Amino acid sequence: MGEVSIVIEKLREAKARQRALLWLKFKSNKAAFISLCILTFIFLLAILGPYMVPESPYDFNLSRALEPPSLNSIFGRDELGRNILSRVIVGSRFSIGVALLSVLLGGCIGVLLGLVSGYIGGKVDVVIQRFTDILLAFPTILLAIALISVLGVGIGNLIVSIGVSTVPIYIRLSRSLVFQIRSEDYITAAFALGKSGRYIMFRHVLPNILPAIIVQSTYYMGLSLLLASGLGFLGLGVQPPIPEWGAMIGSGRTYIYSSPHVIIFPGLFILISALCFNLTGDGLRDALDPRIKVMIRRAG
Amino acid sequence: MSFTRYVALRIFQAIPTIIGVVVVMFILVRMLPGDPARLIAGPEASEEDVRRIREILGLNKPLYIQFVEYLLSLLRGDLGLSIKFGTPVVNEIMSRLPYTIILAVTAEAIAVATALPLGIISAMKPQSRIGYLSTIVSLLGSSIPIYWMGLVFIAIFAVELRLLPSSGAESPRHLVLPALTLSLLLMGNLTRITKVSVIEALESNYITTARAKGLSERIVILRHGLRNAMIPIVTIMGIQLGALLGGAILTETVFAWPGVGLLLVDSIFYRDYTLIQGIVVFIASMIVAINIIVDVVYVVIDPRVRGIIWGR
Amino acid sequence: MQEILRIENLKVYYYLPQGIVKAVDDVSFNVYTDEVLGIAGESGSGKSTVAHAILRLVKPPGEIIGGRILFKGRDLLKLSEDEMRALRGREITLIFQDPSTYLNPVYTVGFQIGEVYEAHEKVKPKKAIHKVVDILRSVKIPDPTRRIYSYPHELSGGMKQRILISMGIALTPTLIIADEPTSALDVTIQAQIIELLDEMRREIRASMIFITHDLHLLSEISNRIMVMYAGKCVEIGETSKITSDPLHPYTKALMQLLRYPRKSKLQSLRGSPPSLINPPRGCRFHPRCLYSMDTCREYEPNIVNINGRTVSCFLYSGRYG
Repeated sequence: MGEVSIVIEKLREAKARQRALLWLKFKSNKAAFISLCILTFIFLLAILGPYMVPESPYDFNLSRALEPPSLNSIFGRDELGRNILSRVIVGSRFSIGVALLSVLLGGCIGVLLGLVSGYIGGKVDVVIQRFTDILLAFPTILLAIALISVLGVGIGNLIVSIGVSTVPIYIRLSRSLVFQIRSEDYITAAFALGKSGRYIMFRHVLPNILPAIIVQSTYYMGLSLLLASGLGFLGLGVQPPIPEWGAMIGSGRTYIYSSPHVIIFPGLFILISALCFNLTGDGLRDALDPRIKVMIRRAG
Repeated sequence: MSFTRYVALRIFQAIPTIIGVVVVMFILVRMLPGDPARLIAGPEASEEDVRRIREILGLNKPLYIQFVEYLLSLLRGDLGLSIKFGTPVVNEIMSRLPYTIILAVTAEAIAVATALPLGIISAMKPQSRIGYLSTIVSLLGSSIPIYWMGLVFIAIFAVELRLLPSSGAESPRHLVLPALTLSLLLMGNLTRITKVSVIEALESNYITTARAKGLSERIVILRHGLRNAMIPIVTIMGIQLGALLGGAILTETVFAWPGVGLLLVDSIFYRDYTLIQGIVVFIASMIVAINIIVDVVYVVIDPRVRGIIWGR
Repeated sequence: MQEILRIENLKVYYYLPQGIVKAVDDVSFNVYTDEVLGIAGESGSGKSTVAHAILRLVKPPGEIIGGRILFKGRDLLKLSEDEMRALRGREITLIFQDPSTYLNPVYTVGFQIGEVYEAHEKVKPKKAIHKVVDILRSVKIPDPTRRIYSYPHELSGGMKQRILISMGIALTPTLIIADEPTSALDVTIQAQIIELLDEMRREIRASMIFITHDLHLLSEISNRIMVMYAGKCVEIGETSKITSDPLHPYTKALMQLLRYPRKSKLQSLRGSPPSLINPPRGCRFHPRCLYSMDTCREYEPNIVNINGRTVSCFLYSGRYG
């Protein structure tokens, strides 16, 4: 019995070493590291920002409407005189929050379905695949718009719409990953040992497709952010006066001739956030085991 | 199996998908808040009026009958009447479709003309300045919010420089900014795929064989490398074109480009259910059709797939 | 017998982020007219790299950093790329090991063979049809006039390898380098292909460098054998002498494996091939050698000539340093 605990101890050490190696490799990719730092900053902004804003993002002051950036308000003021800096900071909570939650929603559902579809196969697979085909026949924006127009506007519905739109993408991803893992020896061994399908799926297959899924999810968060703010721009997402970045661009659109600063800053934040998601995803992918990189590539 | 049989098979396989799309849209639209009959009748209408409108629209029949009738009318090419305009949905779509197609094709052309050379050269010289440039392009292409980029372009070219118009579609000059904006998005993806495909092709073993035969480097890269790299690239181009039909929504909105996407957004605000349903079904069907075409092209250009399909 | 190829102190290194891989580290040998030199070794011994280096097909991050490759008196490493290209496929040809990946899937096999004529005789591949058909006939491919329109994926492994062979003999080269031409094939097909290769070689009076890890093959087909280990050449000599009386401990172990495939693995060859980034100090084989002495751990053995045999081992050099 002592031997077993030694083996477990060694496994833990090996895992810790692996994780340290991953972090080191990630750090060495400067672009990815900086992106992660920026993302952390934005996350912190989302959580703590609203408590630290100079002015309330909702206080309007029509006499100072459309004021260009100045010492008084670094990003200037919007069409209702509100401080854009405050709005951008508070808006981070909504934009990032929606991106995060919708990816989590879509991911959980999609990965589960893809796992089942890929591992169990047979009729279940065919049914789920047909369903995915139908959803994928819509461009993602279209699907999200269709869902939002049914559910009505608002933050919760936005999260659901975008989440559901990402479900088929996750199903495809996890299914093709499962296919790559299915024929591996340890799966066959577990099966031969009499482990149940559910056990194998969740204890063997899932942990091994998880790294690839996490890497892809980083990219999807960027996509989700762009999608959410796109819907906000169209007026279909978060409703005013909530300062969502895309919605800010949408309502500031008419003033582009006179006061471009209204749209520049929110857009810049969207751009930087999406960029950081992409670069972090790249860094993560490069820092991982080459085998996982191959898995991601083969999964398309 | 023969070529025509393969095409027929793909079309046959696509039909359930289209039916599925119709089902989904049908359910979604029926779930929309508000009673369409009442909305059409207006706030002052009597119950009698609302009932009559409901009868005309066929909304009083059971759901499955409505569904079957809709399917049948689809086969006739009838997508119903627009609630707001009173005109056939098909007409509305067809009057706007050319605009979307022009925008999509132009944007794709610009993207291809830039991304392909960029991707190919950066694949051959990954560390050079061009390689660096292509990385930046792919990165930006997948991170920029297009509607924002469109507005920035408007601010620069239409407002500041007064070079190009900012909205509408009256002249070819109106096409420039929207197509340019849209192409940025496509460029990002295409550059990345091109670079990856070319690198993979050039690292293949048959390239070594070609060199060992004594062929000139030019022939090796063009005839052996690129020809193989083109296969995934052309596939992606086709898929992009399909997705563009529905995905140009944001660009059309920013530039007030009178395409199908803008029509859709408007119809959502008008609660024009038949129009919404018709447009979405139409776009989804177009995408499915384009995907079939891409599959067929794939069979033509890749002899290996030809072998599998044709069973040679 | 004339010497057609002489390799002197060849060094090919790969510059990887993990370190410098010394794939070929100071290897010298020669090849004479109308003979088959077999190169034996495990994977990673550097034998394939030697083949690529001769035709200057080594791509970054690999680089030929030292030595001379003299072909008919000319140092190939000093030739321009154009001059080198004129040799490739015509005077020196290379036949690869995995016909599935070494043939381009989107062109017909007839076209790909025709390219050899295109490269050196300035005819369009399509115009060289009858030449291609002739070559196909000589490598015993049935129904050649139809086969030229086939795509690689339509052919079996053996047939594809015949295609590669036909590319390698089409212009009657002086030297054919066959890099594990049968490793990817079924055992039953292997014999056919080897026979074909040998027959073709004799017909056109070419010399051949035959690279493989299969010792049986080497003992059958080669006149002389060169044994490589971890990027170094450890022994060169006539086949009959090497098989009956191997000198280097590694060769001894290999020959034992040849004779008693089941038993010897445990006795004479323990351990695994070394990393080429950090090879063992001194003689690269010493960690696995049954006869290793203190010297072997410190110094690299020098090369000794014993009765026409070349060995690199302290057992024979008698002195160290």
